[in-house]
Amino acid sequence: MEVFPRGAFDKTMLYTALILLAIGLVMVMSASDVYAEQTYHKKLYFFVQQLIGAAVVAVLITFLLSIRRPFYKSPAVVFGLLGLTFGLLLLALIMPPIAKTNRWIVFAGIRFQPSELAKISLVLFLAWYLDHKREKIREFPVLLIPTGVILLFTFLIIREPDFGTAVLILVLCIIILFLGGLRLKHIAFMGLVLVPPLVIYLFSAQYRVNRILAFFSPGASVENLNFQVAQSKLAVGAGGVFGVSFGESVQKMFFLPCSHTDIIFAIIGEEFGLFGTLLLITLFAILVWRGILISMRAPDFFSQIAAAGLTLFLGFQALLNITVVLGLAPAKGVPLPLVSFGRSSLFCVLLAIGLLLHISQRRGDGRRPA
Amino acid sequence: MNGPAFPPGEESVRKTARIRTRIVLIAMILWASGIVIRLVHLQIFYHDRAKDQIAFQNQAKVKIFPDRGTIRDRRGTILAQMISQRSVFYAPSSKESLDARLAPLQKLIPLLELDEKTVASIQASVEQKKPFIWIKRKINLETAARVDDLLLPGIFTQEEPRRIYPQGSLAAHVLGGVNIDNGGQAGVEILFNETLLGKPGERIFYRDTYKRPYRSEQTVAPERGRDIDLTIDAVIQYIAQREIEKSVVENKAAWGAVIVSDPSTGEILAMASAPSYDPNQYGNADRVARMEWAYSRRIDPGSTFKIVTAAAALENRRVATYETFDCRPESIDVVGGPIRDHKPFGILSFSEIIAESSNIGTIQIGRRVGAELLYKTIKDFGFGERTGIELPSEAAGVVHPPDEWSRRSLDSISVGYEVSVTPLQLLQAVNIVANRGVRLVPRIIKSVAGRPRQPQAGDSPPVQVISAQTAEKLIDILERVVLEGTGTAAALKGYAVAGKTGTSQIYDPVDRKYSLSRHTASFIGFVPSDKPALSMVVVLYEPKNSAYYGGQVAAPVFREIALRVLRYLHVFPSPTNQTILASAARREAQP
Repeated sequence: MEVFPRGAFDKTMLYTALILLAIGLVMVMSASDVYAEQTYHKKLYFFVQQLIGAAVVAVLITFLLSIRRPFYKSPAVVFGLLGLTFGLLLLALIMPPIAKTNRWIVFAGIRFQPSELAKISLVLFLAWYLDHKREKIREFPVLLIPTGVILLFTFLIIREPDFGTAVLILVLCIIILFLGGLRLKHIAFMGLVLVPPLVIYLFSAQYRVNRILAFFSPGASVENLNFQVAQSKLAVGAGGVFGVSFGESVQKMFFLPCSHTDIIFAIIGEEFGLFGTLLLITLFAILVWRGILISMRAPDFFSQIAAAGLTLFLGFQALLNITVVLGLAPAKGVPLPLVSFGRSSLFCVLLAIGLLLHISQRRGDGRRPA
Repeated sequence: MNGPAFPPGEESVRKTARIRTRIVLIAMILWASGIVIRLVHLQIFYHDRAKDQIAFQNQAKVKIFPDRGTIRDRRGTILAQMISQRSVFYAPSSKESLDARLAPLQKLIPLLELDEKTVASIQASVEQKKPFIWIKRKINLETAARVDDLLLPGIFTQEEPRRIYPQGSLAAHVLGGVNIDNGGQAGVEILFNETLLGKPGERIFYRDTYKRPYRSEQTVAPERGRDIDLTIDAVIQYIAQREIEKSVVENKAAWGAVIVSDPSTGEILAMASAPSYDPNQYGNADRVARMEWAYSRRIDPGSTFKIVTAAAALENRRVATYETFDCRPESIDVVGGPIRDHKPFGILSFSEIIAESSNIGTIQIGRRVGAELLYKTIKDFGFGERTGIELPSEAAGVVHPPDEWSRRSLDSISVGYEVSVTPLQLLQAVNIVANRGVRLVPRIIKSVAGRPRQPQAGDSPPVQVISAQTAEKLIDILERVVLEGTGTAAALKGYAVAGKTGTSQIYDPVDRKYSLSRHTASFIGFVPSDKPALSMVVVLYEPKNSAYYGGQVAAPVFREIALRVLRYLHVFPSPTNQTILASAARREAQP
């Protein structure tokens, strides 16, 4: 039996997310002011854009929280979202490229990145699928449909091309299947099927090879391949324990490209030092902890898997982003959830948090049968 | 409660999912721990290196030149000072295309009046991707403001004061000049460079990745240089400079030099060389015009040097002033060829020999004095060594000791050959006579940073070189030079003038003998002779007109300068001087 106390969603998670969002807004302002001034002659251009995005999504979340029914479980929503994402991904490939890539669709002046939405759609789809096949989950043929869907989406995203997001989604999906009770040898088999094409693809474009080479030959040439990685390491290192103080970042003077998007963690490290970086990591840890708690306490298997999947999607993305910034992994264009500038990402991350909060208010009766 | 809450099978998959979630969670915690370790490594242990590296790629240190000290004359007239100016430089973005980088220049060409050559060299620098390019240095503040108003990308202006010499070429050879970086190049500017320079400051420019400065910060404040007051008097300097320049032109001389001093203190009131130059344009000045003839050029003194021979004879009582010598022969036999007089004389007294500048007579006096005493007197008068004036590259002159002399040397030196001296040394010698035998070092620095010049270790103290009586006797003779001898062109109505003319042949190093057609004309003297207010040396090198004697070309310069300077110094004719004039008139009336 479900209990549904109104307003009993996980407040800790909400506040943590809001704090991260606020930090993100302030840091976007600090990291982008010079670039915004130069490009748009408005210092606060990116800040205002992000603020508007956040406000719109906040309204959406309030709406999600007020829905009584577990709408996310209905096949209409799950498959509707999956279909929509698929369509948008196809559309992105058809639409004229922006910055030499087909990652965006533009509609009525609003740019949107469907690969962000793909993360949520796939999590919900896999949760639905695992819930429906839970009796036959250990049988091999069950594997075929999700493998096909995952492959299709991964392929489309790779075509954009957005290798980083594709790998993230692939790994995330395999982990969700693992949580759903798949046999380990089936997962190993999936890995054998999926990884070789990726590796082949990886080496098919010179810039990706260069990034990998750059990662494994640090210091070879700060000017060229390793420039961004070296510069972000310098930024974090220069921050020391207490940072160079707010707004005083030197690296945002174009030494760090994308300083307000994918590399924003480096600017936080520079301006607020170890104090700032550890605070941020703590906030993400709280977010993940609350997410897992929501998953554990979820009223049913579907919700449990969906909550775990959404939480892992947030957690993994944050970890991957920070790992890249610290020069521990080859450069990948993955935004830091809630903090990086980017309205597509912000929209999808807040949607995920909205769903988690929604699940958090639909607890089970709190007692597991023996 | 009432029965199982979940459909069959759900509980078992949920349990598996919980366990597996924990496994994934542990993996995430391990991953996060790695990140924390990395953060500690980067932000604590890598911190110093990262900071240095960022400073290296982000900061550019620029030296700020301090304002040089002001140079003033003895009455406070400014001879050299700094004025605010700005320099325009270009720090092109490395990101833009070549055309885009050249674009800002086009707007500056008309505004800064850049010539084609400059534009070409700037464009070449832009093409070579130099990060810092001077467009134009030291422009006035209004033009700089207009450049700033254009807001051209990469174009900046920077404070860069300019050294100006408001009096133009006045005292150019004393002041010297500076280069574009305000470093001293000659004269007082180079000798006192460190005093005037002050301490440079430092400014850090913060630059973005395209090397464009976006902020700057003064880290070390520049320390202004100290001021220097000279003993020069701008008015006297002006008079002296104008007269020597006029005379050099009129007499078609190669160059001329004049030094005016106060003999009682040794302070130089004016020092001028002609041709002159404008120190505001030191770098563009003609090489000859920049020569500091007055103190760095050696000449054969000729007859002016007879003062020394006379002083040696009187001081050592080898002659009496009334004693006479036979100067009737056309020449006197000297080893290596006879020496003549400029005109035939009869029997001359000691005084007349000097007044009429008879070589034959002076050589006879010199032979009475002898080599050792003559050499001692020459050295006592300060020849053969630097006077110690506060100017760079002063020449010491050449005086050989007697053991290096030839058999001709005593006779030659008696009449001012075989020695080389600077005009400044001649002035020092005549000052000894004017000062009743006391030798003072000539000075040109009055005070530094408002403090009077402190005596220094190398300074020679005032010395009594000859007795006051000898000096008085010499002054009588030098008055006669001007009254009735070779120096009558230096006479001033109402003043007693003491002086000595000099005309020497110029030694030709190619022919290895003295030229018959090229001469150095000189005059040294002081006025009023009883209580000298000023002393002066005038040298004209190679006057090319028919008149070339010191008494003809140098003495008039003395007169013209002295006349004006005495009025300026409020030294007016006195009854005593009238008497001297009266006695002179009486003497002239006699057959």
